[in-house]
Amino acid sequence: MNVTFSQKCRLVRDASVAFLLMMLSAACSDKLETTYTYRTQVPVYMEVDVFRSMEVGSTTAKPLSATGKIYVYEDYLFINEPQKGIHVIDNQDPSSPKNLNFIDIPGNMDLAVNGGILYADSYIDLLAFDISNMQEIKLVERVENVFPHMFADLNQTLFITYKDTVITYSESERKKWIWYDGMAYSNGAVISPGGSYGQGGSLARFTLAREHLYAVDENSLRLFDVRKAEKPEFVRSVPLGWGIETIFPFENKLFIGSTTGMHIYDIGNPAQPEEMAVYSHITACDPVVVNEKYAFVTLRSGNLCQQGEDLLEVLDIQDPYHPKLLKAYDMENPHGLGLAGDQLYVCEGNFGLKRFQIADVMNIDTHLIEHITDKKAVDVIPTDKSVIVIGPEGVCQYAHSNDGPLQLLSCISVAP
Amino acid sequence: MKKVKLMVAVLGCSLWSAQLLGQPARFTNQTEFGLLQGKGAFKQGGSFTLQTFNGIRLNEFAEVGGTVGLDAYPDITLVPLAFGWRGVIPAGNVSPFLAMDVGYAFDWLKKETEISWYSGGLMFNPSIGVRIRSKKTDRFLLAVGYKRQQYSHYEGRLLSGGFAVVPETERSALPPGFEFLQRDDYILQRLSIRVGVMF
Repeated sequence: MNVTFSQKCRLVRDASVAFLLMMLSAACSDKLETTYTYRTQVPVYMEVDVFRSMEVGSTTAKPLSATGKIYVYEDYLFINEPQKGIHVIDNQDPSSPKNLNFIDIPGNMDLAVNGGILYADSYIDLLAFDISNMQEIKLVERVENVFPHMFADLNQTLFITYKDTVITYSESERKKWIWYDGMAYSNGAVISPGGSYGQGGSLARFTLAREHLYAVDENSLRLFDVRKAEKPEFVRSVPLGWGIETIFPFENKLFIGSTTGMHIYDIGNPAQPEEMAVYSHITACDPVVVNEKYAFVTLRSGNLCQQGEDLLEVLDIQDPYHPKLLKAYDMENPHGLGLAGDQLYVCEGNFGLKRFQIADVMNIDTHLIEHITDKKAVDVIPTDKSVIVIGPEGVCQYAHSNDGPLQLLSCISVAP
Repeated sequence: MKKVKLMVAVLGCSLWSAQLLGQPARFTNQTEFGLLQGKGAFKQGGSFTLQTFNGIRLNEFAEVGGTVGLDAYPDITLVPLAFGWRGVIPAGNVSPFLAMDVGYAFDWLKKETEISWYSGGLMFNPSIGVRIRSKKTDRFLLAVGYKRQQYSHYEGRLLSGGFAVVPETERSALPPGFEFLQRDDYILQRLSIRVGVMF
């Protein structure tokens, strides 16, 4: 079979054209499949009877699998594992903390210690444990139905809790954007404070002051009389408005951080808190720490806290009825705060921990002493022995001195 | 299916080695540049392609070797490394040929951050064209083909604030420390139009 050159050329040309047309008509458009994976919370209904039959109490030590709030009492650290319970750590030597035991507490998010009695929430109830012997921690009291905002029905037989979970789903040919809106992010836990009271962080929702336990939920301040430490009694609930985040006691006042501002309450009469002032600002998350003259408030942007800016605000509270904004400093992503004399620690989330000299409150930004960037920090508790820093990766302790940098003593890491 | 793949591979290898042993190999190079035309997923704009095939001539009809390239898409520039095959119908001054390049493209040229990164993907590029002899031995070539390229883009958000409790079994779905991750899997389908030279 003889094929001439011109025939070959035609063949090639025809084949090329056919090929080209086929490609153009059918295949040549890009395809995209987008997969979203995110943490969220799904509502879970629980029957009160089932919840009350759940195991509560001390068990053997467990490695941390997540960190929640932290509370310091004497030489012990209490680390909340959100929804599960509390790790008890012997912190006599901050450079080698020992994991003593774990207290199983379903639905636990917060805690406070008052003279050998540990208070912990357990969904709708408040529990009191005798911790005078750490080897034998005993449940001594259960105050029932004191956090009623979780109830799902009028008969109070069912309540709603939220379970953290990871959701993955895919879509084809979606418009390209990063889709955050409408996703409910997990709000996990975040920390606690308080004579023979212990000390919590600036992100606490439980605090002890003047023989009362104050607990804030989303929209109210709930008071418990703890004059008999082992027998907490519910006194009353004070409505506060929405978005209550943190509570910090100082002298005879409570400073309550909310998503819309800072509330100052007079607890001169501890059973009858009276509102002194509400300092309002843009919507943001805002833990508060306080000394005699000033309040330091962090405002954080991000989805949990709606919009907002990343700021550290300094308020003059010498007249607590009329708090005045003195100055606002730009921050990266500030979370919890800690005050130790004239040094202020600011947790910058994924950006680490900053230490400022605050003798001159009008020039804090130019007095950054130190910035630790290799550890994520969410809240901080400065104590005499060590500075305790809590982050999603665990709990680290640093030795501090006025003139030198922080020295890392130890870290209790979250098990991978 | 596995057996079929294995048979094809064995057959291919044996044919190739038989050819190699049968006659002296000669090196060949085919360097091309051109356009990748198609409807982009989001960003419009032409894509530029450059590639060079280096191989050995098994006989007058077939060449095998490796192809290295650079493909600049509107979103990303990828470096494909591929196994290449060329089948030629020798015919004087204008010889038709078929080409097949199959491999993997890397995202080496794209900047990555802690929360945004890329991964390359499989590449498949059959084409058809002509080699044109000019003067003595130099050849120019023209080729059109279909190029299918996969790649993925990851963009996430780190956990901020609250400590999320995630059941152990579900942790692997997200990298540690992330609360959100978006993975875009692209399949780019383009008409490749190239001109080139042969050595």
